[in-house]
Amino acid sequence: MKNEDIKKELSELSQTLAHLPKVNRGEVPDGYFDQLPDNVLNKVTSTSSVSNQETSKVIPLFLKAMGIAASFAILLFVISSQKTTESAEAIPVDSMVEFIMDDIGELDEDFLFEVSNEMRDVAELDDETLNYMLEEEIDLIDDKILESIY
Amino acid sequence: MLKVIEDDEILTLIADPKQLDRGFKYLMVKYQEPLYWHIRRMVKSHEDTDDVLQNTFIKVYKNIKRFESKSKLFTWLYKIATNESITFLNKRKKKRTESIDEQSSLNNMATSDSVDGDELMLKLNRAISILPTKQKLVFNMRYYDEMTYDQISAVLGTSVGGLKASYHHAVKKIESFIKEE
Repeated sequence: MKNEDIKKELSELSQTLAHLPKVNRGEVPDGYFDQLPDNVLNKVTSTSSVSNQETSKVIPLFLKAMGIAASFAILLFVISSQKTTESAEAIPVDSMVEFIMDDIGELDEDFLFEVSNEMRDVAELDDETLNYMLEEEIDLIDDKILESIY
Repeated sequence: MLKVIEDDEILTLIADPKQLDRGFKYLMVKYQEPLYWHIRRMVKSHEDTDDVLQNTFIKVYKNIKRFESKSKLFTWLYKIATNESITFLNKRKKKRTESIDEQSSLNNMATSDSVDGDELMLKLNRAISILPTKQKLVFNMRYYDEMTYDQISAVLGTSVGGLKASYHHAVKKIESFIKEE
């Protein structure tokens, strides 16, 4: 009945169109519709697991970074404590450098390399998180549209 | 391939967290083809259609808990697919100039149609491709998907009167385009 109404309307508007066969144009790869549901489900599952992994990865690295920052703060505190017990003139620059190299330097290249890598990782993850958030913002906009049409 | 089941059964499965993925698979099996063609008529290439359709289903999956049965599942899915298609087209328009894009689409169609050798169908596709987006959507949903005006109205949020006017204008434009060529 519905189709008849549509056909009748079309034939009243355009005989040319009314007599054209309705065919879907364009080829679809073989097996596309057989595979699509599994592909989408895999994507949904992997997206949610990646998202969870990112969340759990960011927190420990961020905590590590906080730990590293705290370590530097302690070292600075130690240095400044030294300054308060001795006059500035009593600690030549060379000695301070030596102190840093001997006592902090022992934390050494490996440590600094690790710190550098950790900080870089955090920075990289931060960008990823930012991108993720930007993407999510797009989703939020879409969600708002969706909400308005529910 | 799963059999096609009623929307109520699909929604019942989806409401059960243990059956969510199974129910969602039934949903995709039932609606993937009509949604695919709905999207493809808008974005043209299979690759783009695949992207948009997958995004559509991902959105559906994320929001399915918020679906309220007061609207029909079919209408709700069409809304999301339409929204995703328009978002995609807007992004693509920003990336390329419309003229190059449109020309490319027409060239693609011309190539595939020349294989089919159906001149009239080529003209029809050309005519549809130059319709404004809203008229194109209304025409496709009425002409190809054979949706009622009430269904289209539920998808696009436009009055039935406005839709009838859009469809009539679109048909007239297409007819005159075909006759002119």
